[in-house]
Amino acid sequence: MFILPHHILFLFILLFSMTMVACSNSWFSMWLGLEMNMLSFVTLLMTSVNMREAESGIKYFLVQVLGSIGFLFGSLSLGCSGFFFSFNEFLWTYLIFFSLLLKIGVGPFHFWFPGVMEGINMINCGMLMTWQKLGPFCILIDLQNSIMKSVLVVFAMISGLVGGLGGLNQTSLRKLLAYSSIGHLGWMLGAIFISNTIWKTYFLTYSFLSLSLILILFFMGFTHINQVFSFGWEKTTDSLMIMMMFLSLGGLPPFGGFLMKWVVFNGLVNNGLFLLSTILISSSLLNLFYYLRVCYSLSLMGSDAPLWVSMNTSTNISIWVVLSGVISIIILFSSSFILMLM
Amino acid sequence: MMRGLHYTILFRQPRLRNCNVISPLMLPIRSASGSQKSITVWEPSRKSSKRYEVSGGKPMTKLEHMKHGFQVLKDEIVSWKEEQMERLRCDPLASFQHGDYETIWKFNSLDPINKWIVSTDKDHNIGKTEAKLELSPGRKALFHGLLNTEPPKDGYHAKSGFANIMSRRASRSFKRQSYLDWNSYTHLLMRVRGDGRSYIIVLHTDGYFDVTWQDQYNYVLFTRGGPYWQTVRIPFSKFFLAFKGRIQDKQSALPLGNISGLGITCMDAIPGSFQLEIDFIGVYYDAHHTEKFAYEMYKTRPLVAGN
Repeated sequence: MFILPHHILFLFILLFSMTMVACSNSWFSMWLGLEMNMLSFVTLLMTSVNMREAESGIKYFLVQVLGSIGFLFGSLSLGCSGFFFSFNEFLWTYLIFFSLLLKIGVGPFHFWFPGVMEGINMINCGMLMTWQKLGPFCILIDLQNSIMKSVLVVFAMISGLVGGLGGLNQTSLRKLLAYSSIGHLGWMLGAIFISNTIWKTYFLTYSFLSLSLILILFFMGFTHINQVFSFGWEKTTDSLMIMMMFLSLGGLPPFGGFLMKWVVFNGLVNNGLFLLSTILISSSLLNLFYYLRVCYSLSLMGSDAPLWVSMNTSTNISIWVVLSGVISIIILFSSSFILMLM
Repeated sequence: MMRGLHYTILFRQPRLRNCNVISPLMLPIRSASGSQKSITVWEPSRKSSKRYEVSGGKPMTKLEHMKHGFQVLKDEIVSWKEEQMERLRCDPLASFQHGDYETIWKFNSLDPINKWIVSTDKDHNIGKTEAKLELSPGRKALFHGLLNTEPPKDGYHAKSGFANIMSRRASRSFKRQSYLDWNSYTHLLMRVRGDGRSYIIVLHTDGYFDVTWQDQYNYVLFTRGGPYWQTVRIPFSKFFLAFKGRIQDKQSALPLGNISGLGITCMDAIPGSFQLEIDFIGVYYDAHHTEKFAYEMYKTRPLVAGN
């Protein structure tokens, strides 16, 4: 898919802009990086002839522009706030804070996220779920203070619950992954409380698992749960690895996803955030419920496999599937090394 | 998307004429599309143009409005509760076997028939066609009428003659717009008894923004005249994109999760009576149907439509 020159150009701008956001020391350059990122991503969304992708691109653009307006206004006002009451500093900081939460789709600012994910192709879904969250999170980590932490707890809880409850009745895999992403955002917001390293570990593990899963779903052409039904009878190894990735995302031991959640949970409990940890664990169970529904369709349901339809998957994809599954297990067994970084 | 005075589809599609496209596109089906010329892309209303808005009905007093509003509120709360119960039941249909089908509209009583909307060119003051949708003696939906192709003497319309039935737009509680989710199915299934005429099956796929409000996917259904019923299975991959009745140069596959309603139109330019009896309309899953879109899109030179 990414073989056209403008794809490569805009991908480069995506990478560069996120680096710019992460390395900036001024509000304006952060905003600039976020804007470049948004514009290049919207261009990647709109390159298809499909009207639905174009519509999703416009919806994404409108939401991100709203967030950028709030961010820029808040940051400019923060620069001028020395002339007014210091109370206003909190106001503008919260404006920046809420704008960033809107940009990444944290509950209750999540309403645009499943709709946009539903309309775009799988590769862009993967980028929206992972890379597009990096910049705002880098800013959020630096933005937090003691008052904001209490607000962050509330949003983490809401995000976890929304991610769990929203995906319950979904048959579209893209929407399911969207709600899963919202749920994982709750965990990431919780990880911010503990340390930057924990957050980075969680984000990297989640990104790896999500991108692996997205790539496999893309190559298989799966967009709905009914399409994965009876796939297990064709390729047992591949279906087993896809199952492992879903269960890893759900936080089930002995997979790597369990480790990332366990570390965050451990940190939250040590910091006295019992309510947040309870709600995140409970919502994680809900996430696991709909992951298991996909796994059930994938491998455990007996059916008459159609004799004349076969999935033509190349050997390279199978290797990638196996590799992703193996690495997700290896992450668990390198837990001692990761714990040392804490 | 060109707007303006209508001309026949054959002249509009020289590129498609030279390629291997399904023959219904080449048949002399003339649309009576009379949409106004416009130099903007902004749509003032979902009905395409205020020129065609049908006015009528006795205006309600404020008290009647309030009473009606409370009744509507009660009904909407009941449907909202049903939606939440359905969500909490959490049991969507996830697995399909080859041959599975779902009946969406079953016309065996007046209630489903009354939920469909009949419109003709006479309703829009651009013709004299008359049509009705009734319950036949065999308890099926009977779409019948008299097609009149005489254009109105208004100096604007050169062609006329269409009759249409359309399902109500899919909606949720509190009048929120929704879509029919047919992503898991591959074919449209209908049991009909026609009169030998051709009818156009229209799937409306209006989107969020106004430029997509008139997007529709069409397929020409040929009926057999005679006493026997026919069960038709139309692959969704065979539907082609049109905007306000005009086939588009840049085609794309039907978005099965974005279907707002279904319509059946009679406008084959043959004046006289028509009759189409419908038993049911449903959707069907064929595990061996792998075609995504039946029409090829050719790479054109820069600045040519379709590039």
